[in-house]
Order: sequence, then C-alpha cells, then structure tokens
Amino acid sequence: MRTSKLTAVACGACALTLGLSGCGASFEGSGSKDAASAEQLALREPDPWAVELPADGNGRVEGDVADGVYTGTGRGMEGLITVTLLVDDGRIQCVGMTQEGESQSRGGYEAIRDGKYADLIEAAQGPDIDVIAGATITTAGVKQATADALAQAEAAAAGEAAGADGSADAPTPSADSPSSDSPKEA
Amino acid sequence: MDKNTVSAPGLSRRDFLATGALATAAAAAAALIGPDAAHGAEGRIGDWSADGAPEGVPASDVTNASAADGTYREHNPACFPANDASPIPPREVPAAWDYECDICVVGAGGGGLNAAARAAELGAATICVEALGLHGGNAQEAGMCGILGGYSGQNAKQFAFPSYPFDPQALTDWAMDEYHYAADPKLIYRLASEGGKSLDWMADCGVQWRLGEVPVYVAPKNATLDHHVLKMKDATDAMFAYGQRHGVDYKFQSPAEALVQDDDGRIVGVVINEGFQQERFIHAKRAVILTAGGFCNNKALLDKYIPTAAMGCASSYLTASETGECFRMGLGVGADVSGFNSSASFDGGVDWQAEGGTWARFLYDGMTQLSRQPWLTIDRCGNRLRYMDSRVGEDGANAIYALGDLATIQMTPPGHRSYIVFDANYEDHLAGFAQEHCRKLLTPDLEQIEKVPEHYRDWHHGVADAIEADVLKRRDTLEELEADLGLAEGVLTEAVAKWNEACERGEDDFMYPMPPEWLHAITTPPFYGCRIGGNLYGTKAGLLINDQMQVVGTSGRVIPGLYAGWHTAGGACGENSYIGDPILGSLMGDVGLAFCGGYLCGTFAVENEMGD
Repeated sequence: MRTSKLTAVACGACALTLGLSGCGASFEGSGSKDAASAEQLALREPDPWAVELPADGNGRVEGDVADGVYTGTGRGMEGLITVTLLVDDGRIQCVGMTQEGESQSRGGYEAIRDGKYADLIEAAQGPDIDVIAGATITTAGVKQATADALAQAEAAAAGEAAGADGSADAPTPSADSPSSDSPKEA
Repeated sequence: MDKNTVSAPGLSRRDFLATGALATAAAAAAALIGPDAAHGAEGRIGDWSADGAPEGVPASDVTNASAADGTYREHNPACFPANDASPIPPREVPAAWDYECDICVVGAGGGGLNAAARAAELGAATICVEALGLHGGNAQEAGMCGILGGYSGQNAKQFAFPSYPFDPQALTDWAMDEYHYAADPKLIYRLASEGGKSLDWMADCGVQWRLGEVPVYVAPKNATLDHHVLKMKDATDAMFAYGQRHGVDYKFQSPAEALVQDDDGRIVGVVINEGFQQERFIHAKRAVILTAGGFCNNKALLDKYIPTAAMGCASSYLTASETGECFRMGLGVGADVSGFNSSASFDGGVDWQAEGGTWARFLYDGMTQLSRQPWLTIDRCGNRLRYMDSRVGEDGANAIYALGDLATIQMTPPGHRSYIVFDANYEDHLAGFAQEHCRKLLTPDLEQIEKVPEHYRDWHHGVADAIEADVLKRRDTLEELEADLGLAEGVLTEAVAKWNEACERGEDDFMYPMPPEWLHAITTPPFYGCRIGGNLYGTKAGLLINDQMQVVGTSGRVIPGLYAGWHTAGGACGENSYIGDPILGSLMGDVGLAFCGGYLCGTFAVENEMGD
C-alpha cells in the first residue's frame, strides 16, 4: 500500500513529538489508560427503553374536554409529528402518532414507533411527559402535538357549552398548525 | 411527500416485520375503528421513508447473496430515511420575497456553520437555514480533523507531510498519486494549502484545538478520549456562537425545498419550508451556498452514484439528515457530478436493514463496537479475513488507518459481506482485545457519558437489541447458525474447526495471524454470528465544483451564484476512492473536509460576489 509512506513519516514525527511533549497517557488513542477493564465492561444499568410505566386507570385530563378524536401537530427534529388522541369521558388514549424525519436510533424515533410516547402521554393524561434522553427535540414535538390536540378538545368543549346557549357552532376537531412556541433549541 | 409511520405498541420488531404489513392506515382511520384496532395497526420500520416504495423484508438466506451474477446487493428501501435520486427542479423568481439577504447558506452542520460565520464575518448579510431543530449536524459527532501540514500547531513542532517546511504542492503531488490521478489537482491543492488555515481560522473564532500526539490531526481540547462521543460539538457550538455574534440569521426546522433561478440562469434564492409548514422565499442577492451534507441515507442516490458503497456498506452511522436534497437541487439546475463512486466508511457496519432494522445507526450502539472486535471472521466461501488492530502501540498512523482499511476488507469479499463468529464466552475476551477509537465499548461509568443517548450508555443494551432483531444470530448449534446466516453447508463448521485447531496450538497459521492471546476457541453454545459490511459515514460523490467552490454545470461553465461545500460537493478525493484514504478521505478526514469547505465557500462567495 502506498499509505505506508505516510505511516513511516508520521511515525518518525510521532517519536519526535513524544520527545518534545512527553507521553500524555490520557490523550486519545494512547491506549493504556483508555482501554476498558473487564470490571468496567461487566457493569450493567437498567435499560431505559424497557421500563414499564405504571398504568393509572383513574387519571383524567385537566380542564374541560369534549369527547372525540383529535389530531394535534408539533415540530420534531426534521419534520412534523402528529399525535391523535381519543377523548372519552375526560380520559385520553393515544391512538396514533406519525413522524416524518426523526433521527433513527437516538431514542425518539423508536419511542414513536414502539408506542413509548403513547404510553407516557396516557400515563400523564396530557403533554407533561418526561424527556427521553437523546431525543429532546422529538419529545418537544410530541408534547407540542399533544397540547395542540388537547387544545382542540377544550375548544370543542367550549363550543359545545356555547352551542348549548345557541350562540356558537361547534368547531371541527381538526388542526393543522402547531402553536406558535418553537421547540428550536435542545 | 408521504412519510408516515404509526406506532405499533405491543408488537415487537420481529412481529411486524414478519407480517410485512403496511401501516398506511393513518391515525384518523385507526381512530375511527377504535383504540384497540389502532393498537393492532402494524407499523413498519422505515415507512416514513421520504419516497421509498414499501417492500417486504427478505429472509436472511436470500440477503446473503447478491444478484445471480454476484454483482449487486439490493438493500431494503423501506429501512432508509430517503430513496429518491430525481433532480429537484428550480423555482421561478416570485412576485415578492419573504426574506432578503446577501448570502443564504443551506445547512447548519460543520460546513454550513463555517460558511455562514465566514460570510458574515466578511460583511455579508447572511441567512443560514437548517432542516433540523438544532445546529451541528453530523459534524458534532466526529472525533478529529485530519491535517497533514500547514496548521500552526504543526509548524510549532516543525511537522509537515511529506516534509517540513510545509509545501502544499508536494502534498498535492503525493495525494494525486494516492488517488491514481482520478482527481482535480487544483481542488486537491486548494485543500492542501487552505486546510491548516481553515483550522487556524476556527481557532481564532473560538474553537480550542489540541494537536494529536501523532500530529496528523486536531481534536477539540476537552473531548479527547475515545469514548467522548459528540467530541466535535465543542467546535460546532463555538462556530455557531461566533456566527450569532456576527449577525447570522439562523432558521431551524426549515428545510430547503428548492433553489430559485432567474431567467438568466443565475441562482438568486432558496425556497424553504419554514417550521415544516410554511413555504417561504429567501432572496439571496449575492450567492447561495449548499453545505447540507451528502446522501449516506438515500438509497437511490447511493445506488446510482456510489454503487460500491451501496453494495459494500451494511449501515450508515450518520443519523441526522444525509438524505441528499441539496445534491438533487444542484442536479435540478444542471450541475455536473464529480467523485463518482467515492465514499468513506468504517469497519463493522451491522446488517440491520437486511432484517428490517433501520439503516442509520448511532455509532456507539454497542452492537457496532462488538462487531468490530477481533473475532473469527470469514467470507461466504469460508475464507478467513484478516483483522486490522486499532491499538495505537508503536504505530499511531496505522491505528487510525485500521478503521478504514478493515472496512475495505469487510466490504470486498464475495457478496460484499463478512461474517463474524463467537461463542457464549465472548464477553470474557473483550478487555483483552482493548480496541481503541470508536471500537471502544461504552460503559456507564465513563466520563462524559451523559452525552450518550441513555439506552446506549451500557453496551449490553444494543447487543440485546441485535439479538432480539436476529441481526446478531444466537443459535444452539453451529449448524443452525451456519444455515441461518445463509452460508452453505460446511462453510462455517469447517472454518470454526480450523480456527479451534489454531487456538489449541496457540499459534495461528493464517497468513495474517491473530496474536496468540486473541485465539479463543469457539466451543461453548450458544454460538453467535453476524453479517457485517462497511459502516458508511461519508459520500464523496457530489456536485462538481471548481477550486473557488463554484458549482459547475454539465456545460462546463459555472452556474452563477451557486457554491457548494462538502459533502454536498464532490471531488475531494477523486473518483472510485473506496474508503476515501488518505487520512480517511480527502486529506482532512470528513469533518475537517466539511469545515474547510464551508470556510472556503464563505470566503469565495464574498470575494467573488460582493465586489462592486
């Protein structure tokens, strides 16, 4: 390989450099300190993707929401996220979620795909869910979409109340724009 | 674009892949038939893929082979973030613009941050648009910028390659020989002469570099250990802050959708999808700079422009974007292509996509590191494949080369795949392998571990994922493993028998012998096997540019107003450069290339377009 030419020269320089600066064992690629020991490699932590959420069958959404199906929209890492909620007697179920471009294998993509966020939303009965580490922006988008869907449910409840007074039409449970706050920064 | 996925609670990956069912039943439809039905709705990995036609996932034994004539390996398009090679046509000049600037930079990764900061520093009113919700792109996950001479820290040590004092012409001559002359010498000379200067400029902007002990690379001062993932985030953060101080207007979550071209053929703006919802026209009065990465995650573009990567790579480790829209926009205005069939990858790409997993993987996902250890490795004929040691020891440069060279070794066998095999005792051998760089397995006690997505802080998790997905096959007998890896009868069992004999002797008779301390017999069930190839991290095919970073059309003439940096541009390491050497691609490595390209784009766009 012709690359050997570079190798030879670089290593000559390496010896020179070591002579000038001393051997910093902590620096990248220096090996001795950086290699993992058998004890380290045997360390284990619980898998955060495998944690079961305690189900609370009695929780209810805060605020007055009308029964129905509502789809909210939020901004994710690289595209819109939608969350579809079924509201039944003040309790929500997350019945669907879509994404357009969340980064694969960082946690957020998998949490949408595997229903992790859906479980979190149902456990919280609203958008106040924990951030999934490694997926801050995706989580922000999911929260935004959930809040948007619930806002529609609240608007529908307000509309029903007003409609009972004969003063307003019930709004349709569909929304296509997220609220104005932007989840821009991680 | 129809990119939807429906969550599928209660179904394992294997379950819904086995069915191969589609999840086009959107949320609303599912809702109509009730929550139980929605929970039964079957999603599939990759069904949010931008344009990919959904297809089923083939069985393992099918994906072992290439086409009948052995030339081509077809990937599962549903597993890719994008699958579209069509040029994106430009838009006409609108009646009214939404935003005005001198220079619009597309992308806020390593290249875009530098381009925007440089243009703004030199006096251009600059807008920088970014599809993601944050800056830094894939650059922030890189580890080092290669540099062979001309950087101030090297001058202080009187180091330059091929000899001191630094001579960019001599470096160019050497590099052109490496590239077998299939490159543009003016472009290579530009990289050679400006690479060190671009790194020094970044230092002036606030990036703290530290020169490697082997002085052929720099890394951010406070992120120098192998396991410091997101090493380069210190640098991209500093460049973002510098751009902000100089008035760059950054627009996040606003992907570029098309270029705007006037009647004279000049590029005068960019159409973005602001907030993913609102189409906006940005008037770039002087220039548009495309620095939004390459197309590691676009299957159709890989197939067409880098067939060896499409065949040889089993995964990509760039998880952000890399879907190639900027390249397609350039094609849409008649740009030429350079760097055909050139790419860069590391060893140990795990073939998740063949089992229906995602194509793009977090680099430190545990399974990737496990696959990169010195296991018995064979091709589908049963031939041993050599290993390349990444321990620095006495030879630092070779240790860095090991990553790319081992990728070549794993990508080139028949069928473009390699097979690693080990037994139940594999965990006992890892400490003794002591592999460095990004082959190091992550453990929860490490310094800066908080930078790692939580799931991957314990390497066992990713390996468990791989076993669950049957990407890492765990079988009770070698015969079962052999069959399920898709190998012909006897191929694996005979190779293992021979290996075990060498282990018993304590001496490897292979032409590239493993050291005796790595000879671990494969005798204790369960047995493990995994099919691997390259792990793609850089596409080097891209838009043709001249040495002032101006995009050149198929006419041979510059497309006025349009600039491109790497990796939207091509040509940084010539054509047919399999692994992108030297220094893992293009004299500067891939993040260094992006940084330097952005710096050059900002410099030349102002110099050429802002004069009176």
